[in-house]
Amino acid sequence: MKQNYLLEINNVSKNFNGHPALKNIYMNVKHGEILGLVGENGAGKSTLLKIIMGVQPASSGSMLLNGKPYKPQNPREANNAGVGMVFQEQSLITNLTVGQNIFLGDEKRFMKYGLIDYKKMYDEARIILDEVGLTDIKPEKYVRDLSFAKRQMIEIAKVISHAKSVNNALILLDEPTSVLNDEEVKQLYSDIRKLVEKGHSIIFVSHRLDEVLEITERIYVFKDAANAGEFITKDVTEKDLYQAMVGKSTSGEYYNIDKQITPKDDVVLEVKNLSAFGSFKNVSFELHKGEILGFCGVVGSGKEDLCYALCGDIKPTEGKIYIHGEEVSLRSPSDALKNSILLIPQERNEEGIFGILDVTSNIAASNLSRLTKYGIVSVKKLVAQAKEWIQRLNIRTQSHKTNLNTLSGGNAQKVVFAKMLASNCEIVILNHPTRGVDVGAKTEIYQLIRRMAEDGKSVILLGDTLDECIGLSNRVLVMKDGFITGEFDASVGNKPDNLDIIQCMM
Amino acid sequence: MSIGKLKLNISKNDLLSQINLITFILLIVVFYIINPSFLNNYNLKTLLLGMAPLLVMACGATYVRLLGSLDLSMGAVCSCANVLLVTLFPYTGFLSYIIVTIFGILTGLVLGFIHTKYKVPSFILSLGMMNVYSSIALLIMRAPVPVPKDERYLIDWGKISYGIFSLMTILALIIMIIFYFIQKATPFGRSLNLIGANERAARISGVSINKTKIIAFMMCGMTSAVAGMMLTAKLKSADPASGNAYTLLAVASVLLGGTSMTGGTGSILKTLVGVSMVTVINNGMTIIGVDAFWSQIVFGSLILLSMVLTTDKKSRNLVVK
Amino acid sequence: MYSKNNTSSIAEEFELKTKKEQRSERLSRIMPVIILIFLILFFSITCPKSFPTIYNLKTILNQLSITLIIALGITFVILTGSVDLSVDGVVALTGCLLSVLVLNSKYSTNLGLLAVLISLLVGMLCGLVSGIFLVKFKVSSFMVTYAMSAIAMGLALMSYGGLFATIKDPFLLSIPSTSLLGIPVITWIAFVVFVISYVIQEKTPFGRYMYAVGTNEAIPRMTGIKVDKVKIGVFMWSGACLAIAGMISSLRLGYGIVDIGLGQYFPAQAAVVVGGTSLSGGRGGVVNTLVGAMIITVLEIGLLLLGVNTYIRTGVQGIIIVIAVILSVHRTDRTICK
Repeated sequence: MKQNYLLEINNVSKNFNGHPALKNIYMNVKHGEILGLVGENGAGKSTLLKIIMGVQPASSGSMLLNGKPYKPQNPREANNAGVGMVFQEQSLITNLTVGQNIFLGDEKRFMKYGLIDYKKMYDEARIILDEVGLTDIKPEKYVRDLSFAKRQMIEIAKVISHAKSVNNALILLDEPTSVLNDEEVKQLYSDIRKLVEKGHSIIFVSHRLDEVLEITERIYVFKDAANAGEFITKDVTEKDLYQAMVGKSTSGEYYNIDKQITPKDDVVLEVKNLSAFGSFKNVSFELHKGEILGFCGVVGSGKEDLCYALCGDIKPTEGKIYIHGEEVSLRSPSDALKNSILLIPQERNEEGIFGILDVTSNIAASNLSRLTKYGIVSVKKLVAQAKEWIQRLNIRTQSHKTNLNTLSGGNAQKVVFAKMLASNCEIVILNHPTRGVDVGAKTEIYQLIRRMAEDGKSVILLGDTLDECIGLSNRVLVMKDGFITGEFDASVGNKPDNLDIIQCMM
Repeated sequence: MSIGKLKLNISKNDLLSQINLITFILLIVVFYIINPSFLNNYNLKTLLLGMAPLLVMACGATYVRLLGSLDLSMGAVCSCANVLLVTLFPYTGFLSYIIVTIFGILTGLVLGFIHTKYKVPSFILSLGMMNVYSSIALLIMRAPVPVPKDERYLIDWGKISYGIFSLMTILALIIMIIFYFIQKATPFGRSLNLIGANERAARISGVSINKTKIIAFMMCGMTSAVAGMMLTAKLKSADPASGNAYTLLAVASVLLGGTSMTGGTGSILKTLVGVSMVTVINNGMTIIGVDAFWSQIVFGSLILLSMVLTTDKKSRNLVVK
Repeated sequence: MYSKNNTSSIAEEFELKTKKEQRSERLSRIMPVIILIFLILFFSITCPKSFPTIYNLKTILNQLSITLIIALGITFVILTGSVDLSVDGVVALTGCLLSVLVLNSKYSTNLGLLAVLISLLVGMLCGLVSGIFLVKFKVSSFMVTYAMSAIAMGLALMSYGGLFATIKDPFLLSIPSTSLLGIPVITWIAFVVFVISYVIQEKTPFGRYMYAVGTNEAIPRMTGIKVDKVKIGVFMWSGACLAIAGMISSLRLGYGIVDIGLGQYFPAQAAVVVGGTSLSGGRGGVVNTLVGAMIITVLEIGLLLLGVNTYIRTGVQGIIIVIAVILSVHRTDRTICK
């Protein structure tokens, strides 16, 4: 019985520089259906949505929309075909009105004597707003005067307006409820249901499994960039979903578990009730000498901002930080460096390396003041320092004079590590240290992290995958929606199950 | 990110430096052919002397440009320093030089402080301050006034020269060498490149961004003041508008030298080449009898050209406003 | 292990943040009007004989006109997040060009109204070139327009080379001194430019796109809007306004010299910033600029009537720009500005 699907995804794969983000994905969406899509960070959900929206092309495979080949070159084409997406980041222009935002780019329809006929535009906007249940919002109102939640709904309205010419729109929602409170979530549900009644379909991506179970009819699970299950919602529980999302544990040898040391008792860093308005709240923990403390959580759980707060980039709004028992106020990353804390950031190109400078300058970046004698920094010493680390970390580069933007991801990351090691800081925050790094370099970096702990450094680790986090850490803290929701011992022989951790994450 | 594509990237920056060197030599040859007195001793001495204030000012401007910022008040501070110096002469003699230098440093401090604390973009901040310093200069002295005979001894050092090298030129070169040294071998100087190359990464790496920026602006203010004091000795007068034209020339020198938008790639030595070019062009145009307005057209166009040649290919994705 | 309460807290904090931003937005929109009213009252009290008079009102309107026209021109550029420093040069160029193209004392040209059109086009051409360098060569706008100003100044000087040309065209010369319904024609011109700019800003897609581009370029790009064309367009509009201002200036003076451009940038930029249009783009507009221009002009004339030295008045303008930008920039420690 061949069903008539709204969207069919056939064997779609996506590669970034040889690194697979999607592997042979199959998916279909029925007419008038709410489809759920769940999976860990990096499982491929956002990548697939971007391909459906035309933000980036698939590397291979094909898609069918209403039975016809569908290959959007840009979001505009996707819109015209009836596909719309509400991204996690807002895309409304705050100083324009609701109506103007909805029809941004589409004004030709309302032109009268070369000027915009606002009456006509707002009348049509009124219809669309009513369709989405926003009956109390006037289209003449400026977006800047509306609440965040209302703006979210207008984003949906904007997407609907493009689909007006098509009977069946496909709407992609990426984490739509992350900033909504309970009441607003209920409102969103009812709006979604109304849309579906009219014949449109929705792909609902969220890490809140309880919500996915409540609103969807079918659920796809992605794991490690591939399909990991298709379920009928009423037949499945949260636990079943967890099971499907969790990857096969990589062998312990990969993370050098045999090299994991027991941390000392000295508390190097203590955090009490640390909060950053709108990001995380009441975070408290201790970090011991030689310890690798892992943090797990989905995007938006607050763990990334926690890293920024600990390295001095974000100022916490509440709480205290103690280093070796003394309270410190980290007003900037240079303050933090003076207190022997350094961050290795997630976005290497934007925050980690100086692409147009050479290896020597990159490695020296955090160590300039330490090498200064009588106000002068000897260039010879900097070159010697660079050569030393190139050798010790096995960095593959033509010379210490090569520009960073010619190095591969793995070697660039090694340079970032060299910068940190050269600075001899005590507390290291590793934010996804193996992201965009090839397998060979990954292994070397794992060994490096073990050596760091042996040498007495204390590490806060945000792992690329759950396995990595569990495998490398002595202890694991789990964060969800800005709070710490779980703590697990991860000593050798007592590593927690992925399942337990995921339950706290989602 | 293939190696092939990026080799092109690197050489594009050096391309400008190579073009400059060739153009520089070509210009000298062309000007000489049109008017052989271009290379006689007298003109060479004039050239080198004229280069001095510009070179000094361009050194400070290089530091600011390395950060990715701009100080458009340089010329006004220069004029102000000129006028202030002559006004102080009767009261504080040689000490006036020190006082005016401090004045220059303070103007930089004001710029740096407001820029870093209130995140006001440097171009509009320095434009506003340019207005202020121009006004101050005009308030102190409404029209050019020659240095009175009694105080001539204070600027006599400007007359000293060794062959074609005036003392002033040598001083400028010494200052340049010191600035070069600071850029290459002090934490502050190396931080300039880091901030210009990637300010966000510099911040995360623990570089003291605000401190470095403020010091850079202070040094730029200082060089503007020193340039103004050199002008006093050179022109032997106080002129509230003496330095105004120098801003454009200093900016052109730095850009032509190859210190680009993206910072990081640039140095005092490159600025020396830029200053030489600008001086030669200016002087050459005068020698061959070109009208004054061409100066603006030529330098404006050169600025545009050098910016186009030094645009980082990677910035294709960057939003440029 | 956790309760739903936790979810609401972070979401609530977010909401509070948004509400706070909204409140400060509303405040900053009313501020300029309050400042204007305050200034008018202040000067009326301190100069009771000279300020609140019809004659003074006429002076204010006269002075306001040119500044307003220029300010309206650069408002569009600033709304998209760029800047236009070419004001001084382009005003000088177009004014001087007009003076040598119409009936004048130096050359034998006599193009009359055609000269007006040519000067207007030259102004727009300058804007076009600036826009192209920004969009195609990715040179930031302040560098491009800074260089353009120098080039235009040089060209202006070149157009009359030494001795300026006195305008002799009777029709054009009469414009600065004619009044319609008691209001000078020049003020009418400024008014017309204002109306046109308002219509463009509010009632055309181009006007709406300016805000979109200034807020976040990626968004209109994704929608298929030709962001590059918008950016070039605002520079051409600015060039046109600068041309109008330049021509009026030289007609008023009776001859064309580069000085008509000198110092024109400051009051105009001050007007835009003080009126509440943000330098980062996407916020403000021509009505803001109108209020801002009135503030700047009232301040200038008021200080003049109070007997404040002219150099101090210029210096004050510089400080005002700085203060206005400080107050309007939204910043955190992590904000990067160059």
